[in-house]
Amino acid sequence: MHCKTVWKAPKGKLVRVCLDVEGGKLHRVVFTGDFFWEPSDDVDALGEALEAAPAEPTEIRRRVAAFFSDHPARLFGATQEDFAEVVLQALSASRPPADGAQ
Amino acid sequence: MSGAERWRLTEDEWLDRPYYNLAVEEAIPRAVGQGDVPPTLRFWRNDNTIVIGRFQCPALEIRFDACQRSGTTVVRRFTGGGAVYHDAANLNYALSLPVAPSDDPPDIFAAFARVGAAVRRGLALLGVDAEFRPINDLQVGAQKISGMAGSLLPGVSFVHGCLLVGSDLVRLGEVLNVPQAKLEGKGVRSVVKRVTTLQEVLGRPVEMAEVKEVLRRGFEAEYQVTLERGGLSAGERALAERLQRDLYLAPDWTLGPCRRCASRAENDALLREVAARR
Repeated sequence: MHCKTVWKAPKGKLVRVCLDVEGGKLHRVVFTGDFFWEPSDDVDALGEALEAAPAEPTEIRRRVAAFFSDHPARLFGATQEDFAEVVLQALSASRPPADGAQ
Repeated sequence: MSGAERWRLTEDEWLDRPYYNLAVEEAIPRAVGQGDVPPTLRFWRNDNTIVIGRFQCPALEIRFDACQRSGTTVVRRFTGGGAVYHDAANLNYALSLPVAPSDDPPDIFAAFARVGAAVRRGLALLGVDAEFRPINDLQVGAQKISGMAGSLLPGVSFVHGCLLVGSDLVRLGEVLNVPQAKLEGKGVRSVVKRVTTLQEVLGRPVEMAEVKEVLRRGFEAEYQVTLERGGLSAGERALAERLQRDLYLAPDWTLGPCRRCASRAENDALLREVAARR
């Protein structure tokens, strides 16, 4: 199942996520959006940290928090919690992939 | 302003080379951070280009069909933030300031506000009352006239922005795919209503030279410096060539990490554009 959604960080920027759910686990999680994040390579690393994570709120929040604990980041326009929240929003609003999407 | 610190003002631009323009945009702050060149303010333009932020997905930010019809190029910049439309009537400004290791870690929010204050001073010289809206916007009334992005590279604080002087807002509205969530957060329904240009505000044609002159004075007044015109160094040009070749024209850079939301044809179109420029 392919999910994507957009989350408007309160008083901040947009955070989007694209991910697949297979067998109750997250795969190929990619965060995009118009926030600011340094070091910039860590955005991809957060998605990788969620690879094979159970599609379950507590575990998702735990992994996101653990990632930022290990990777201090300068975030502007979004908070660490926004990145967990957008994943949970995507899971709760999941729908089939659109026609033509790869 | 005798005795004032002297900074460089560079106006090197390549209207029809957007990938190179963006490479120069990164080369300059890197050179400032290395101490190779003085603190620098750059004014420049791109023609008919969408510039997406470092972390954006092009499929979600642009309207491919409209871009194909209008021949609009899509490039990715190295700073975060949102997608913007550049044409020859949009003026980009970029300020690179060195940060000494002993200084307190720079505050990007304060950097946005200070650059916003400089631009605001310049616009006031035209009789335009603009207001800085955190995090990174300048507005005239309820409409956005300028937006900024920035980055804290090693040894340098970098803020850049674009100012709508006389841009084609119809084309802007056609090629950008602004999410409803973003518009609704600002209380408007269409991106065209959300933005304005200096020409609209002043009700008259505005020459780019006029805008650059007042902004130059605005930056000098805000930072209490003298800006001296100068071109790029040989080192900056060489770095820009390398960055263009290795990063900005790399296929994966523009497409980004996720290709699931665009059709195969749309991804191929972006790749063809990049390949044609290599």
